[in-house]
Amino acid sequence: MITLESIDKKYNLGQMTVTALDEVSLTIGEGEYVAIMGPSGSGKSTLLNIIGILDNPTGGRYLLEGHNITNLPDKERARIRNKHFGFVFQSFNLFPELSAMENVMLPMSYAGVSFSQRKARAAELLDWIGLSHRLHHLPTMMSGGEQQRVAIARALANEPDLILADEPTGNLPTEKGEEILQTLEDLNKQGVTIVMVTHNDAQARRAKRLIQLQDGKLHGEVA
Amino acid sequence: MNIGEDVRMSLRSIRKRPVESLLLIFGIALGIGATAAGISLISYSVKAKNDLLSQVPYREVVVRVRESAEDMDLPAAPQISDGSAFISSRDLVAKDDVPDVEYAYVADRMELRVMTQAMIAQFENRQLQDGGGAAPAGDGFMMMGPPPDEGAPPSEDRSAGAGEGAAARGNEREGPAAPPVGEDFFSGILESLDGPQPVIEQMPGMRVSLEYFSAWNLNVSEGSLFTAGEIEQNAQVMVLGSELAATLFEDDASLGREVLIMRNLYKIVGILETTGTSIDGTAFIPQQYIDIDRIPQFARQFIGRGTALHFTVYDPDRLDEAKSQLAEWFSQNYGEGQVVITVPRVEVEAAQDRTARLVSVILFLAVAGLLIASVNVSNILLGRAMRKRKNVGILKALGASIKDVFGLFFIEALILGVSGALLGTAISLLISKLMLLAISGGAVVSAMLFLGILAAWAITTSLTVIPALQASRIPAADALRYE
Ligand SMILES: Nc1ncnc2c1ncn2[C@@H]1O[C@H](COP(=O)(O)OP(=O)(O)OP(=O)(O)O)[C@@H](O)[C@H]1O
Ligand SMILES: [Mg+2]
Repeated sequence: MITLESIDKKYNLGQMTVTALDEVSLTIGEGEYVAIMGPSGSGKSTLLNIIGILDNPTGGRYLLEGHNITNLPDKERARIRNKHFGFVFQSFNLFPELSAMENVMLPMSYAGVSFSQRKARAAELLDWIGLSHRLHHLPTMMSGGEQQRVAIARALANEPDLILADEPTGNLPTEKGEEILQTLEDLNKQGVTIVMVTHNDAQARRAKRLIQLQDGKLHGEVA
Repeated sequence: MNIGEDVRMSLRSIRKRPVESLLLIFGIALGIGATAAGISLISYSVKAKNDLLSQVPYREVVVRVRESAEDMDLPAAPQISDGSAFISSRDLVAKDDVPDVEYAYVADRMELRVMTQAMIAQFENRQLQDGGGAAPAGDGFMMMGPPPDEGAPPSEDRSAGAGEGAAARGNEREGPAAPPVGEDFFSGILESLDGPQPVIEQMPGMRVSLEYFSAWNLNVSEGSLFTAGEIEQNAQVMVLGSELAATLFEDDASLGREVLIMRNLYKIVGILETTGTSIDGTAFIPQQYIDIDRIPQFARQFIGRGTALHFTVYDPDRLDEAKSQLAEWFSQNYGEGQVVITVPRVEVEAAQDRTARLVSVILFLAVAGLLIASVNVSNILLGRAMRKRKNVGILKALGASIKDVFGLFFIEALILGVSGALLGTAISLLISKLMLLAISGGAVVSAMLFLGILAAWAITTSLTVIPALQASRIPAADALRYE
């Protein structure tokens, strides 16, 4: 599905150059469940953003389904993120002025789904994730675990092939985190590819594949 | 994303920060209000200037006798011994030697007192009571009262056998002093006054020479203007302004009727087209030719004093040339420095240039105000965008393109901008109306004002584009890293 070939990410800070990713080569197949671990600053988020085409590598090639997408125009990249990827963040990143429904509907509006269909699908997703009683609540009126579930529903809005989760349980108490992890695992069982950054060993071990990053380098892989 | 969604999100985010949003709206409103008001002030003053300068008096060179302006109130004696030149409508021939001059005319103002049958009857009664005869009427009568107002030269009147202006005044001031009328005189004309009586006792009048009507571009709607022959023969004919024509007699009709003005019976031969100016209420009678050689030397002073000769030019840009050529003509005929030649346009232009400079300063301040307001607005919007940079990252992660993000931020700015602009438009209409009322008493909402408002809208919207552009260009990964 995704092939990274010698991906570099360097930041030029005047005199100094920070190397966030150093010659990372990686292949992620359809339906995989990959965990990424590593110390703080090792480049995990950078790698996830590059996989999600939110960020551009400074070197190397990115092949999506065999196509080099490194030089695609913004509009195409936006379309791929919208239709094929779903993002889940550590700090939920819901829009505080939008209700749970509206947050979930948002990605569908970029996909050109009609209003009534968006509404129906959002309600269905929130129901599936156990928040049918929270449809019109604003994020500020919900607990962390509920907010993260809304975020997952939002990531699923356009039926993505790949979910990119950056420490999705990092801001949650253990049992709430466990619920989120369960959800992601359920999705994986349904065929959705999952790439998840985590600091939690136990969680990482539950993934089918574990990638270790250190100083921007691929340090090891446990399959 | 569709616009409806953008608008909804924008409105939510505007509502979330009410104070900031209101500040933005008022900033834009004041900027636009100030600019539009400044522009309307400019456009008003330009229009006023053009209107004024296109009027006949500002395409003219005016020639007067030297003393006329300054010594109006001096007793007659010193002027008589002065022995300076006199000018009269005869001198309008100067036009023939000055090619830039289009028309030359005399227009002397005066009040015309209308007499009715009833008034004559009153006179007759009084004379019977007094037992005295009527004062001698006609050429023998000479008024030696205070000098008359401009435009009513008594010698001229006398020589023409009229004397109405001077006599009217004499009558007014001295009450019982006998007017230059008598029984025998009236008995002859009483019949012609037999019809409907005038209902106006006094009306503004003008003695004009032939070209006056052409110079002022006046045409009759009924009847005809004076002919050269009528003026040369001192015919007692009258042309009325449209309003006066409609009100002079109780039954509205006036063409062809006769009006007794002191002791002259004037026949109304023409009615002017409506002009919307004071001309509509004015009665015109011919400026009469004077044989200057028949006037005694001491009386000649009076002629020149009242008379101003007007020379209109084809092209206002050539007023100076016309002025110097006329000056030469008059020095050749009367000697150096005998007449005062003025170009009213020059003074008005100088005054208007000063106003224009003042107005430009005001506009400059207004535009500066708009720019400051706009920059501030732009700044606040930018700050807003930067605070929401995290949102940019999230939106992009959810599939928004740069264009989508721009659209969202732009619509939010546009909503604020348009609210401010609408408010500003209301403010500017109000300000300009108040301003114009203060200046002239008449509000002019000109096309320029709308252009000004449009320009202000353009400036404001273009400044709201910048923050939106800036926001949309934030790299997604950087935006997401921002907490
Ligand atoms: N915009 C940037 N400019 C300069 N350096 C950056 C920038 N973004 C990231 N870095 C650097 O790149 C390196 C990798 O950062 P990244 O966020 O990927 O680490 P991480 O593994 O996700 O860490 P954490 O576990 O704390 O989230 C870090 O050293 C970081 O300082
Ligand atoms: Mg990270």
